Amino acid sequence: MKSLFSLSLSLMLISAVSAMAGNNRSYAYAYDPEEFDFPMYSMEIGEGWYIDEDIGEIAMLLSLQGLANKERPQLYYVYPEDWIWKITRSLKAFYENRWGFDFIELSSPEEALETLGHHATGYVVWDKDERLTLMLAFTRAGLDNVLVVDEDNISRAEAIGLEMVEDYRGQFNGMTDAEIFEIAMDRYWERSNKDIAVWQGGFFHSRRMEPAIADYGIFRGAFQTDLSANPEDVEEMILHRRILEELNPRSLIMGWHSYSKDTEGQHVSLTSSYGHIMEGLNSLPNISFNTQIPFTPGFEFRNNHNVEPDEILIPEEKVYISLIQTDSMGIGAWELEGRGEIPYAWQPTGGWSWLSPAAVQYFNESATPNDYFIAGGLSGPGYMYPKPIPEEHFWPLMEKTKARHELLDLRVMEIMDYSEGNRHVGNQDLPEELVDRYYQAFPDVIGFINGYGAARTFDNRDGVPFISYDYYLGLGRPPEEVVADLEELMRLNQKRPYFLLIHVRESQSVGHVASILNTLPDAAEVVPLDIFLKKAGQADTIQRRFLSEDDPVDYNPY
Amino acid sequence: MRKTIRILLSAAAGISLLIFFAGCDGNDSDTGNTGNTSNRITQANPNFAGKWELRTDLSTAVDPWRTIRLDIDVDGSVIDIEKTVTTGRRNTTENYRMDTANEENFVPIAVWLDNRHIGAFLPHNSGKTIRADWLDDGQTLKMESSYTLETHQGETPVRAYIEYRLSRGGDRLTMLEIRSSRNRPILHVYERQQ
Repeated sequence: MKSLFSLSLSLMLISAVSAMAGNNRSYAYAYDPEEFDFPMYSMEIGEGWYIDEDIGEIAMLLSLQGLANKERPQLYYVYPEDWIWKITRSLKAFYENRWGFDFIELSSPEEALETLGHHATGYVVWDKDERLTLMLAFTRAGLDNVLVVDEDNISRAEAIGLEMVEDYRGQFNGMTDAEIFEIAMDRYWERSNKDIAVWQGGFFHSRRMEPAIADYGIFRGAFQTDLSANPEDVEEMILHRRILEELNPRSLIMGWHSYSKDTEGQHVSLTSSYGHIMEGLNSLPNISFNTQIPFTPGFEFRNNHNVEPDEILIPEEKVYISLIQTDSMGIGAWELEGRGEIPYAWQPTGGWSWLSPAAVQYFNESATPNDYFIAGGLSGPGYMYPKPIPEEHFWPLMEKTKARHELLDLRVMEIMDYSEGNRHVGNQDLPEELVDRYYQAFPDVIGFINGYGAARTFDNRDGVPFISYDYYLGLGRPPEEVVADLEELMRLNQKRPYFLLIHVRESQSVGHVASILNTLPDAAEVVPLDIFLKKAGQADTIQRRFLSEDDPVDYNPY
Repeated sequence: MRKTIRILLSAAAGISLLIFFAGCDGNDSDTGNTGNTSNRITQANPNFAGKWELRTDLSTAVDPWRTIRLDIDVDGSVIDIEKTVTTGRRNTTENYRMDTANEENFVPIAVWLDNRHIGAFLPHNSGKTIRADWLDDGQTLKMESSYTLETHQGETPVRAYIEYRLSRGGDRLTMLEIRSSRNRPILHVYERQQ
């Protein structure tokens, strides 16, 4: 039995190592799980994510995590309760219960430095008056294994015997962002990893930084930046494009754009136009640890299918409703009340199968029979917009996506495109030629989903529907208005069966959504997404429609 | 049972509103407006002119927009309502230019902004056909609007009955809308901006 166990682990490792050798990008399973007998540490990471607050201490701890985890997975942080990613505590419990990890709690930054600071070769000082220097420092940390400190934390670094290797204070005063990043690229880009780059966006005019992904950027030796994708920022765009051009094909862009510079639509459109794969967010925690812990031996992701792939379901003359929560599962309602009350579809981020396998396993093992998983990414193997993807990249990207579908037992493909609009203005639709390509690329799916807000690309081929969202259930929408919205859709779409697909925005709990739906007329039935799609595939009440030349276009200028 | 009571209450409220609006529509004894075109008030009330900002706390939810601004001009029988919806740095404007001397006005509109959460869109090169009238001695602007919406089942005709009511002091503008496709009336309360 033990030999079988060892064999399976060996095969897993061989396959992971082969993947690494093949493309030099996957660090998943980089550590032999049979040797998880070394000390592992965890620590509660605190508040203070504003540039003018305590981010200096947090930045130092993030760099320590990246450096320590370069050797092996040994430092895990538990984030505050209100952190956007809700699963750091649950995942720690998962590691303890399923892997038997016995984390040693670190009670202070000093203890963390004393315990793991020897992984740093020195320290770099960033300038609190010029926040971009924090990104330069994270980049330098990944390249030269140095601890990142601000002036308030120099004494802590020196207390463990580290010496300064660079001091950014005063070096960049008065420079534009483009000028600073031009210097950064001159110094660090050539040595940076060409399979990944990290965007460290921020909120509130960039005062609030949430650079939790910094540990992973350091772990991978990635260039870290927040260069704009706004065409009005000409100088920054030149550098931004240079990075995207010089990365290896279909590289990983992690983090998130800066809200004070550009829009999500602009950023992901530009990334997609080079065929690179976006994985958000800059606030994503613990990836340098998570990526080294594989699925537990013998685990296989199993979806809760309600229908066989070749089964035919005939719809009745009624309203069918199905619900999908996207925006990545760790952000949203998975941990909130009511999950399992009604059928719900969820989107496990496909890249997490190697970036954070335990999270994927945790979601799967804690799923109820009403939780159905779809789409290993958005439009491709990560977050991408298909309209800007050059066709030569489209096909290999979809091959990668299909591999994720197989690994995660997924049968529904989801697509989103904000390159010509968003849920407020413009369009989120696809031309027929692109729909053709998706049908060709995914011959085994039972349906396609399109949109984020309501969109209007619809098709149906051999019982496999291509359906856009008809409703966006926003965060602040009052329940009585939601009911009125859904009734309005039912009045506007008078033929039956009517297939009403709802996108539920991340943090609406399932219980809240169920209570709203309970007030709808009895003729509306909430069904699992696979049943919804199978029945839609047999209906003749959905009109085919694709993006047309006359549709509104808005390139997300604001 | 609770659901049935709720539906009955909603229906009663809707019927009451419709009766109320029907009473206002063209047979208002106080204003002497009979609904006959020849007796219509055609001169726009100049007190409608100005800039108005939505009081979201008094209004039906307007999400995904955060607020709505109106910029109203009047000139003789013509009223121009420039309606700007905003959210964050995004804003979109539509212009309603209506002449109350006309039986109908066609207002071209590219994007249906009235409910961006639902899968309903204006067809290309379309807009709203609007009959506008002044009621209550010019204190109320009535708009009867008809247009077509595209959904994933095809095109559906929609009617909307709208009143803009100016307060006696002239600093508040209240908009009421009943849309044939929607079971809940919509209330927007605007305050005059200096």
